[in-house]
Amino acid sequence: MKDALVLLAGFFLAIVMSEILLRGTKLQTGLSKVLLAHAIWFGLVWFYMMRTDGFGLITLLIFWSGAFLTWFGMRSHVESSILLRMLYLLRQKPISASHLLQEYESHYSEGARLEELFRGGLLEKKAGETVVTAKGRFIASIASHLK
Amino acid sequence: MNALQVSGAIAFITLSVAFYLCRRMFVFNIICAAVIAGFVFYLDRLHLPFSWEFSVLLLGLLLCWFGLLIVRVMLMRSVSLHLLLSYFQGRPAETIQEEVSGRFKDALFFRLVRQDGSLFRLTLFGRFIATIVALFYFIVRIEK
Repeated sequence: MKDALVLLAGFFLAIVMSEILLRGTKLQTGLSKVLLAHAIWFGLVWFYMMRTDGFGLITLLIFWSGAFLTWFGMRSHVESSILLRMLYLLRQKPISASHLLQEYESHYSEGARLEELFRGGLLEKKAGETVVTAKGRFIASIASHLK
Repeated sequence: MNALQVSGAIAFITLSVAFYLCRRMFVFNIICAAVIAGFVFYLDRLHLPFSWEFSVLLLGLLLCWFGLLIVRVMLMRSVSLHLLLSYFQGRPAETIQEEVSGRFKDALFFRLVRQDGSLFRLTLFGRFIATIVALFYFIVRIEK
């Protein structure tokens, strides 16, 4: 039971560290920092398990992959979801569709999303034109394969 | 590696391959449920003593299933990803207006909102979800 608690605590601390490193920015912008935080905590938990003859590496990898996928998916979805943002805006008062769209766009317009892609190093400006970077091409090709 | 870890690894690889091959969520869910049930039944037949490692492996596999489902939804619906793909593939993306109007239909379909004339109002269920979202925004410091 102690090993299971250490594993859960390690994963929780990786999430906390990720949030500290992200400082309120989008997940896609700070993905490398998040991966670093998880790598550090995974390494520490693995080191502990080796010293105490606890869970094997395969078990750690399977648990961490599943927990990371779930956390990553949920966080990324909630922070960018249009539907959830709409619900959040409606929480204050009932509003019309046009007003809701206006409110939404003032917060997160297409321009803001593009800016986020530039900040994340997925798009860049070359000779006045917007082009996809190598990192962006890599992610886009994986996404188009899996879609 | 013991039998527990080998069967866990096989189940994990099968889930990953199923995610790659099955685009339909229904089929993917059936495969995942079958794989995880198979993993439990196989280990049950080995009459191994209870171990926390088994519980952690099972939890990990369930989280993989759930996590992959969310990733599939993201791949289908993420506006930012669609924007990136539109530049990658050189085709125009859907506008935010189109995306938002699509979400109105979703919100009505899932009974998260109801329409009073020209106004949209949260249902009780919608208010519950909106409160969770507000809490999440607060925790991860998403600007309002």
